[in-house]
Amino acid sequence: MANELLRVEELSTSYGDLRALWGVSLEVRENEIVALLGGNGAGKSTSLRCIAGLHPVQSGTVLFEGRDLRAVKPHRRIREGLVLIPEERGIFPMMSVEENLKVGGFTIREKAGLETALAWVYGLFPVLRARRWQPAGSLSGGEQQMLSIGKGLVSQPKLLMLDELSLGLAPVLVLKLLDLLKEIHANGVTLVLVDQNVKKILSFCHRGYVFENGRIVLEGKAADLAADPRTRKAYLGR
Amino acid sequence: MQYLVNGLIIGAVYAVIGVGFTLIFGIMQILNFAYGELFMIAAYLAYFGVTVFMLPLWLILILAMAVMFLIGFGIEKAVILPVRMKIPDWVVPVILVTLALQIILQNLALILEGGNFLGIPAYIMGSLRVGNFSVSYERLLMFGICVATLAGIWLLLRKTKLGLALQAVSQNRDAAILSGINTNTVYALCFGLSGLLISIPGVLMMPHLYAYPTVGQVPIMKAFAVTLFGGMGNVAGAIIGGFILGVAETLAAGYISALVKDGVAFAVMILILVFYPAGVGTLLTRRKLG
Ligand SMILES: Nc1ncnc2c1ncn2[C@@H]1O[C@H](COP(=O)(O)OP(=O)(O)O)[C@@H](O)[C@H]1O
Ligand SMILES: [Mg+2]
Repeated sequence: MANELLRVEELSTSYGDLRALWGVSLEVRENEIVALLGGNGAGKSTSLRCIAGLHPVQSGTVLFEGRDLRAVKPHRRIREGLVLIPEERGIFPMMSVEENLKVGGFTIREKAGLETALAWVYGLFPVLRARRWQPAGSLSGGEQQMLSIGKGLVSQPKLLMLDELSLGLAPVLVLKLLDLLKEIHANGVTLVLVDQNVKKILSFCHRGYVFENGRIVLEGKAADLAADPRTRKAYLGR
Repeated sequence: MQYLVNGLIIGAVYAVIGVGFTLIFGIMQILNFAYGELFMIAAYLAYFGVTVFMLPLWLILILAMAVMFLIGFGIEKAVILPVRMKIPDWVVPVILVTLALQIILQNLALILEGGNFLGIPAYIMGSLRVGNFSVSYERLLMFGICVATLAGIWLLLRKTKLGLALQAVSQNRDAAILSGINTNTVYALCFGLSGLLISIPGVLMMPHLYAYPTVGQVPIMKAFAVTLFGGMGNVAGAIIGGFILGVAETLAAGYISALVKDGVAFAVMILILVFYPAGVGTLLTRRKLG
């Protein structure tokens, strides 16, 4: 079996007095595609933000390649190969497309390395090359999502976590993005996907976890989750 | 013509003052009420540079820039960082800290130097005369240095990796962290840069002012006016705003009365708040920094 990349144990946190996560445990192995499912407010984004270091962990541990992430400052986690594309699209609207990608490659020191990485991303998303001097804020929703994925890829992460991949996008665009993600996965990037589109996402992923009220209530192979009536219930339950 | 030239010269100074102030707002969304006191410290540095150490202007300027960078950087690290670490919603608490800092620095100056008005003679004598209008060499030099500073800050913001990081933090803080940018370093550098910028007018204006504990009240008023005019946190707007304020003040002083000069900054602030609260900088660029 492949090596373990990410391991979350008994993760709990809150927003002020409001508890958001109650002991979430999950793991992601190298080269897997893992789905995080569940209705609005179930705790998926909060889990990802805790893993990335944007939200404080109150108890529990997060291990990346066996290393306790408490010892790794939030801005250093990208250097370990851990990248989150946040829910609200992690782009800089007033910068050009190319500047956005350069920020994505902020941790790359050598100019040649950055050029290679940019060329790789432009190869995956030719539309970004065509729009490279345009302000990111002027792109369409689909293009902005491609930019946020592209920006996350410049640092050539080991694990890419994508929050709400298809939010606000037309179904054709979602299919196109999933195709691109397949290609990215083939390039050796492990993926964690959060999406409301359960059917589509489960047909794409290997395994999944279903969140409900800040807890994981169901986990297993994607095909089993797709067949399980409780998966649907978790969405409609609220 | 004479008024216009004088207005543009003082406008360049206001632009530098405004950029140093708006930069901090653009990146941290805070107002630095101790900004005028950084000007005050630079003015004292110039006074002692001239009277005690008898240094040439260029050396005073470079030393003041370096010292004020370190002071700005140090203030962030020593006073503001601890507050940011303790309080997640730190914007208002940090603004209060800068207010406290303003009072502390003013009183420190009062204790150390007394309330005396300390002045220095002109750095350079003589003026350039063309036909019936004249500009002192000192003002020409001031204009040149301020314009070079503005060009420098624009290059820094637009063409360097540090500039990219400053822009990233100003536009989307979380995304900047996720990209590997250390926001604590960015904030401290931003305060350092702001101190460096205000030190330039602090030194160059000294022959026209005095060094005294509350001398910072004048520049911070201009900084407010210019920043509001250009749009909070908008660097290009602050540059335009600085020049417009300089020209407007000089024209008002020349054609109406010298008494109304300082009122112009208030008038500008009120007019912009009533008619165009987003600031004119938004007409030029949606990008805040540079
Ligand atoms: N910024 C916030 N402030 C306060 N509560 C929040 C915030 N973000 C999320 N929450 C709460 O935390 C819980 C989990 O939310 P979230 O992780 O965003 O869920 P999901 O991503 O699964 O929709 C919800 O109850 C939500 O209301
Ligand atoms: Mg969410």
